[in-house]
Amino acid sequence: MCVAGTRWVQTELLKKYPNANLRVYAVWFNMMPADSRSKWPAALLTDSRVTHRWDEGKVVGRWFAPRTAGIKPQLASGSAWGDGEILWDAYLLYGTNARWDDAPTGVIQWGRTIVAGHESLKEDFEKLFGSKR
Amino acid sequence: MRHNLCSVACAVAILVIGTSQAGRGPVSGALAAASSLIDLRSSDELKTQFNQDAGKVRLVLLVSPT
Repeated sequence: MCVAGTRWVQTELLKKYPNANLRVYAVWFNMMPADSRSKWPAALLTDSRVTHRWDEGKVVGRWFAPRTAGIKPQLASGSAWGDGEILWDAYLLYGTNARWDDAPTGVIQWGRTIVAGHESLKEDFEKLFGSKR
Repeated sequence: MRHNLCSVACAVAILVIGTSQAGRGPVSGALAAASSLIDLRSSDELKTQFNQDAGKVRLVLLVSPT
């Protein structure tokens, strides 16, 4: 599922908005039994605006999970998230003024799964970068 | 003589190809680049990068490799 979501990000967002002033942080970690660092799909997200990080301890997913309560209003339509300990197969979109002190501010929307939230994400990209195609 | 003509033809071909590529310059927007995977030790590393990129829209993806 994650692979399908990240492929969609590459082909439907990054490729279609090559001039968008954007940074993508792809944080990879093991969640499924078959997952491992060696399975990282290097050819999936190749846009130069993407930074890939391997998170062996799942620290970022664990960090974000309890903080989603404060950003529930920004949960994308079509998305669903309960009270899991690790947020994964998820995205969080932040605006240009976002700043991370105790926690990141300026979330535009977030969603889980990436596939479930893709229509909302696509709409926001159009609003943000519609003139940058 | 034949060998010399062949050498000249090859040199011209290389020159033409090189010139045409140089004239193109960088394509606007994001180019496909060889990706690398860097180990993350704490969420603070992501926080630092996030703040360094202020002024840009930022998209965080939390994903597993399969």
